[in-house]
Amino acid sequence: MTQEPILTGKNVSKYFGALRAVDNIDFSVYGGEILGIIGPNGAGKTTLLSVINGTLPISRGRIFFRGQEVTGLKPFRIAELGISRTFQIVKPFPGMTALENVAIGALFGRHQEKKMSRAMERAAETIKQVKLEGKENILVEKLNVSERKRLELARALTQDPDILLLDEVMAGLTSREIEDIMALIQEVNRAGTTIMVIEHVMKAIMGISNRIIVLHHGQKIAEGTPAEITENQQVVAAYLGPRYSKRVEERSHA
Amino acid sequence: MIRLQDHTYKVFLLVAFFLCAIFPAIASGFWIRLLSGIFLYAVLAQGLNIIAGFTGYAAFGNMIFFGLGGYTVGILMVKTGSPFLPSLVAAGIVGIIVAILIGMPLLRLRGHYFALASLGAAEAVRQIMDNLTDLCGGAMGLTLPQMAGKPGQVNTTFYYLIFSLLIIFFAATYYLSKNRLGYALKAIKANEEAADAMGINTTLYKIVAWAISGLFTAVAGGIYAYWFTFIEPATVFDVVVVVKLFVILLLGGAGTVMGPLYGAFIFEGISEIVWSRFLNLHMGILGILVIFIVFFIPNGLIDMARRGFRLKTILDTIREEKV
Repeated sequence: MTQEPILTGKNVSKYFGALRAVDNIDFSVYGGEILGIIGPNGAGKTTLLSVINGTLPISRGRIFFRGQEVTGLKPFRIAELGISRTFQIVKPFPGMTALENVAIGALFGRHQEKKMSRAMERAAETIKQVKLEGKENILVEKLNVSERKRLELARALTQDPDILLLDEVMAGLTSREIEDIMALIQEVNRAGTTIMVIEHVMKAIMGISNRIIVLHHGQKIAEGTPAEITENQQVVAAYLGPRYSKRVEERSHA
Repeated sequence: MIRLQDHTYKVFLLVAFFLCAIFPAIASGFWIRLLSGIFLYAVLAQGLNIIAGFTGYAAFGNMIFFGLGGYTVGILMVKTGSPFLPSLVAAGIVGIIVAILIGMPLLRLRGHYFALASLGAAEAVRQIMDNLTDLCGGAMGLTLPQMAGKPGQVNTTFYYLIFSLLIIFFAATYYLSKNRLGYALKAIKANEEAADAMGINTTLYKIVAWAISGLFTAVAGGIYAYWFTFIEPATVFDVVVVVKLFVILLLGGAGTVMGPLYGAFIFEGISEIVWSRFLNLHMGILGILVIFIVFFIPNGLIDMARRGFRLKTILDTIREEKV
């Protein structure tokens, strides 16, 4: 993990009318780490991610990447700088094969290939990395849920990002598939990519994250190591409701 | 069963090219003019295909470029006496520039909004041309000088001119479809948000696509003007032509390289031979054809050829589309 954060957000806010979907959040992502963002449904996790990569315009606050301000840049510029994302609801390009889908990340993204053949080679490597080999020439609409999730990951990976923003890549997968994809995320991280991963399922993310940020109603309610987070009363309350949390607390004091 | 990947398809294309190349030597004036018209429609449809078929932006206002291309050639030839070919080049440049200028604001819109806005822009341009009486004759139209030579020679010259453009523009489309630009456009059509997130400058690529579309369409307009030697706003900005182009695209296969040509062949072939006998029912049959295509071959003939011409595949397609 680097000493200085490579991605920082200051007072990052996103309002939808009167709704404060993301409210005054500060965050730092250190190079080489896996940062988990958790929180109940509607906590603002995906919104935060969309504000970082520019899919949604920011309402207030500033974001810096490697010392450069990236607030308000368009998504394609952010991607070119080295921040790539996946979408929770995967967005493959129908009518194209899996290989072509992934190749687009190599043609554009951070290290743009001018030659089609080279882009296809890079795409083929990434497809192997996410264990989709054999599916290269299949139209993406024929892939199943788990394969589509891995394709979404491959499309982000082939852009060769510094930071990968993952939005619930495990949602809708079986526990076996979740294990596979967790292993894959760790492998990508070991190869040098910093990862910010959003997950609804706490169990999945706790095992792989170096640090965790917990969001609730658009606000950051806790930040720390997975161990610290599991013992945080506020987090338990946010997930299970204040009454349950009180019971847990009473029991632990008894 | 025809399969496009087959070797026979390449042979078919070569034979077709050869036949077209010698066509004026073996056919009468009527057939030469008919085929020239089909090729011109194919070029126009390819122009629309770039923005609508590949990029997914239904540019109902594409006649802007056709009209302005025609008027550029007309005004330059009539008012300045410049020769045809330089005027045609100027028409292409006008097409590109106008596409960039109106594309910058309009291409920020998506879906139906863009379709309507581009239609509005075309109407506005038509109104302007209607009133520019001093420059281009206004609503009364503009008469261009006739090409020198016997009618037969003129026919043949236009045939080869249009045929060459067809080859150039289709080759260019083939090239772009296999390269970065083509993939960017297809990605934008498939999912613009994801394309943006993957590093594609969507605004830039959409404008480039419309500029290419404008170039193809304006050049076709310039040829049309000189070929018919008379243009008026009501004809060259006619939105019905764009509707026909959409039918051609749907028929042949939007977003495919050869679709516009096959679509033009079938559509204009039917139009010329059958419909000329039912003059009053022309638009009615057009409507029925649109419904038929949307129902039975929504992805065009090219797609159907890829899957194989069988009743079962047609039924499968319909079922898939309904899901």
